[in-house]
Amino acid sequence: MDDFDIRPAKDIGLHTWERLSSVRRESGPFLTAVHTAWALASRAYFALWHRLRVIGREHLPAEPPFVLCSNHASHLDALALAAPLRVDLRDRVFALAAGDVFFESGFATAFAAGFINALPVWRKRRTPKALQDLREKLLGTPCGFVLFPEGARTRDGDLLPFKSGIGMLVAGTPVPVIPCHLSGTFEAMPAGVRFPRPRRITIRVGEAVRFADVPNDRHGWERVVGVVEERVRALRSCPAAGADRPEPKP
Amino acid sequence: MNPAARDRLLNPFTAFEHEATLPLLVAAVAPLVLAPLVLRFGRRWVSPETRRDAWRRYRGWLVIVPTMAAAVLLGAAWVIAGVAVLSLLSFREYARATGLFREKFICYLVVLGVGVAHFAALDNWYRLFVATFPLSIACVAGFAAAQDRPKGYLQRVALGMVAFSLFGSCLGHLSFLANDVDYRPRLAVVLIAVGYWDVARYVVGRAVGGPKLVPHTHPDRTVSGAVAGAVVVVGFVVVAGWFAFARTGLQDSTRLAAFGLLVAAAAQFGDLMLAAIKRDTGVENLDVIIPGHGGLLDRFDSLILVAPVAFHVINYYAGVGVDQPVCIFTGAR
Repeated sequence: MDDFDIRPAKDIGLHTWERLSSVRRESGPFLTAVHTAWALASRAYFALWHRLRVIGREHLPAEPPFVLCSNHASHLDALALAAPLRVDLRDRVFALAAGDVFFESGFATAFAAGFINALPVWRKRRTPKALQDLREKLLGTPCGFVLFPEGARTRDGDLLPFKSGIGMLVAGTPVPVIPCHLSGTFEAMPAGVRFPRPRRITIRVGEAVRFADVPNDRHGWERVVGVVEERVRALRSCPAAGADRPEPKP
Repeated sequence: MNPAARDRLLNPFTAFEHEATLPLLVAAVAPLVLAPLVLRFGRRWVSPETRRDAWRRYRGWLVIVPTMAAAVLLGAAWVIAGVAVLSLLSFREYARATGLFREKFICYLVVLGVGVAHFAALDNWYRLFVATFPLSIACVAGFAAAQDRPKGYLQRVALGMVAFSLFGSCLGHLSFLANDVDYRPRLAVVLIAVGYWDVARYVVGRAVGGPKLVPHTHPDRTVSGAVAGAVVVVGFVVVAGWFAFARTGLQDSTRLAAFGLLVAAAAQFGDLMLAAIKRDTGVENLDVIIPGHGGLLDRFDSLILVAPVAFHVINYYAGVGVDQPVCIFTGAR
């Protein structure tokens, strides 16, 4: 950001709760201070409680726009993925979170928007317009998204099939998609567990993939999903992964 | 803390010691009682759209007037805290309308300046209060230059300076008025005058219409509304000021009339200033916090420029906080 335009906030005219759960939300000085404090606190938490390890840190993006795509096993995932990012980026990195979980009550909305900087994705009433709004935000702001293409947390630790939303976001754009794999979050806090256990968490970060030449249609979306899913699966079984996975039983 | 300072800051039981406070409270509340009757019985002369708009505004006043009256009556500390919150929330709306909110560093400097200005008012430390203005401006200009982003520098810094001038310095004068032992009737005269000005401008402007005041800036503002606002404010200030400023240099009908005229002019300029900002940025309403009014700045715009005018006129003729202990918390001299 080098220039300055007299340009009103995109979420002007919305009530506070509407603003917090709106894709148009832009952080002011107060939210930025909260995000920064939260980023520092969560970084310390993951370092101390989960001994967070990042393999492939050099692939982490330096500037938006970008999309971090990972497997989804725990509510810790979005926080863990954002933890190693630069603190000054945190205002422009949004975790796409289930609206029916994180934006149902006032308290949850304040927490999700204020601390995690989450944007809602309404699973039961998802529309092409909603994804189009996200796509415009990704390119126009520009910003980063933390995204879990499985759409839900795994119940057994295995990957679920990826959904086409990621394709609708990035097909035909130069936005880099960074495939990541999280291990340890399932052991630390799987679905149904309220408090995280002190298990080691490892993030494997892969090389960025771009889909500028992929058409923005159903076939293109499927191609994007196929490539991203393949990259995430490959990271899961990459050699460095063995270090913190339990030894296979003979 | 000195007992006199504690009484002024926190003691609500001295609220009605000045003989003008109670009549002024009645003057503040009376329109809230009369407005529904006027709207009900005058419905045949008012279009349904205007009536709906008037009811929306009335509901806003129902919250604003008791809140302001409570702050003034409870003690000077409440007034200063309330004005500080108003300043910060107004700055937030301004920053969101202009895009300054994306310049986080400048925003933090402005917020710091606003905080120091209101602390100086709370401490009754006039030298610090005066110093806050040039120092804040210097900080905004200097630190913004140190960011090494020359492109857009003038716009960023100018917006930051205007922000501090309006919300730190101008509104800070309203806080500083609370440092007088008779701050309640004095503040009440200023606040009620601005409220009356707004109502008179609205009612007469709608009812009479006529030539537009500044059609490119605000097509709703009329000359008739401006004149009516000025007449009402001058009348009110001459009558109410006679009692509120008893035994001071302002207990003079000519001076009070001139004071009222200045208040009306500053209120009009404040109103037009916000209209110009909104027109320039293309924003219709700055927020939706007050039903019928929009944002806090939509409601309190006319007060921003009135505050320094009122402070300096009162300070010149009557003095502000003449016998009050200074530097209450810091002990600085």
